[in-house]
Amino acid sequence: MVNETGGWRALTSESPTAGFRLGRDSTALVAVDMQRKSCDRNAERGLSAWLRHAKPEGADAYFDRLERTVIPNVARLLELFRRHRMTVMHFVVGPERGGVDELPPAFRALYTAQGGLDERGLLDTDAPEFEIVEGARPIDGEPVIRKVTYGGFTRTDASEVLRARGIDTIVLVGGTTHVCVEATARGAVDLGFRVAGVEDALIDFDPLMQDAALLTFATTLGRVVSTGRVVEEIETAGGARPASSVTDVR
Amino acid sequence: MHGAFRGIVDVTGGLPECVVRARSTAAMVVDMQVAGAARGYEFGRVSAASAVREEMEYFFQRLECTVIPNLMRLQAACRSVGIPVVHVRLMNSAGDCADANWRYKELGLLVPPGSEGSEFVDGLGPEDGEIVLNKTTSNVFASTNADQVLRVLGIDRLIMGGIVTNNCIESCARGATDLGYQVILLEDGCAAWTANGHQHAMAHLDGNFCTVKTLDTVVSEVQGAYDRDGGDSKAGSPA
Repeated sequence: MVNETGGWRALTSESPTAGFRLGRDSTALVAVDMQRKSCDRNAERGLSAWLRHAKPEGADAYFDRLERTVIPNVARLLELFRRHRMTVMHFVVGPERGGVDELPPAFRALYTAQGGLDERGLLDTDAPEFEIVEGARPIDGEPVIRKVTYGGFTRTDASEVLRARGIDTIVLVGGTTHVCVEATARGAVDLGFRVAGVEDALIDFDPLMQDAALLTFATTLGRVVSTGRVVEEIETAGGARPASSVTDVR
Repeated sequence: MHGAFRGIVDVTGGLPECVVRARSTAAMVVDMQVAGAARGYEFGRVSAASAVREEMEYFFQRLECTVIPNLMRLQAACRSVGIPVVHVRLMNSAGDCADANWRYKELGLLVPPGSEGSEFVDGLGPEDGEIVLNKTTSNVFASTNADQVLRVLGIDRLIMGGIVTNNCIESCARGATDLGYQVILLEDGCAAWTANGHQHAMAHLDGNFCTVKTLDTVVSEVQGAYDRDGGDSKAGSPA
């Protein structure tokens, strides 16, 4: 259905609809919800557990792609941004104060689902499922923004955190593409940020939904890029601040 | 794999049931204005120059035959029982549209204040005293005081329709949901430039960010809500 009109693949580097390149001075890497509950095939709660039990055939493909493609690409981009002393920000699903009252009704549904999600476990930010997976973990100084919404810019200070660092462009990685990533991208564009989605560093348990979301990125929200493309544009960006002379970018 | 999933709704098991209530529901009609919904105006011209040129006929026919008549019925039903009708449109504050964000400038989605493009399409304009919100973003909550207005009115659920399904409608629905509103989206009260775009957005949204219903269902809920909850005393009896 998506590919009848060429899909997002026809709209990436060859004919971008949004005319911006990624520079080093004002671009941030933003990782969405790379937590064990959705990114670790052995997690006992959350999307991971639900997929294993309810959709075992889809779960294998999902975790294989995460482990072989998405997490390595996220790790590669983290290394790139850190080496150039660029901003890295992480979103995680989790309440600031705890308790189901903090959740909007639609999000509360996630926590009270019949599908095997454990409300108590997911609200517990000390639970192992809350942790960010190996390969995508934050390092000291990188902001980690908790959210209880799909969109990372709703009811958080993410926009202020990025503005304070001089960021006007965000590169999005993580998951779930058609849910929290797309909601975050829509919020970012409305706030005036330029947005690029990294197709091989984004994960969705439903490949069709990922394609549909990427089509929206390519046609409306900004750009779809590959990990390799991000590396190329950042490495060749002119006018960069030499990493060695920058001491306090974050 | 295709067909195995319907989006995150599979995981959540769907949203809590959302039906119209007389005193806590508003109808929100999005971007039914000349600039985007009338043949030959700005956004139509932008899109006519793009790859979807041949499909614009689909869009305008759907608007004229389905969406506009249905939203007129929705507005009449809501007014008859005192459910507020909130009109949202894209309109800049600055005469030169300097207040548009980079993406809207790039796409040419600019509507100077008071311009012809800012006018509501025939039959869907506000009646005296109805709320009009002028936005400069896809999501109405990102560039207006919609949240404050709706909270003051005691609104916790929205009936939503308008254009474009996979752009402003989807952004408004997602924005409303994250702010805690329950959204009823009219399947036959919105349109996208392509049938695929509309269907994808419905798949994204239904059971996930909102509950998709038909106009007939919603109109009967509006009337049922009046009978059950009582309407606004100034509104008279339902039509």
